Amino acid sequence: MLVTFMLAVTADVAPAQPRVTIEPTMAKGPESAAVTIVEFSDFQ
Amino acid sequence: MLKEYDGRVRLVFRDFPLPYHDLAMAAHEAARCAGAQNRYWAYHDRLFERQPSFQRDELIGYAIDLGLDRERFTRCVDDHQQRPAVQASLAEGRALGVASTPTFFVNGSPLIGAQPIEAFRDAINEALQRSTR
Repeated sequence: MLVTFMLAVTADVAPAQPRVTIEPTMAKGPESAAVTIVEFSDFQ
Repeated sequence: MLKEYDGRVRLVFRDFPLPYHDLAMAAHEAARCAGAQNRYWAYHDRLFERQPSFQRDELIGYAIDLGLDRERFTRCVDDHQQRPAVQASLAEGRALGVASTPTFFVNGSPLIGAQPIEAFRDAINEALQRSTR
């Protein structure tokens, strides 16, 4: 199951908001968490 | 950090293999192949421990060490079954303006580069304050 969410932006700016896919196997912590940290990283 | 914030923080890993790292794509694909056997994070951690040793046989060796089904894992790696997913993640990162790694978004606010732990605490605390307003 894939989940997508909109990245939050400041209230007075409204650019097109790209979606981030959350794949449960690549996520740690509860879905209900108040804070989501998305990490884009490279293994090498 | 996840323990420190006890249920209030979720970490989401996204692939962003840099094009000048020859073996990065293979490593990201392999991690997802491990994920298909429910061992994503163990394999993820192994890759960071062993970087940059990401030749095919090394990637398969890590999978065997972690008790994954060798045949299934090897087929996944050799057939590049996870490449489209890695490429989709890369495209998402680019769409967000990611140009280097690591790049973090804390409830949407960017935090670029390897930052001290205090920078994460500050960003998380600010996000928590906003979430309760």
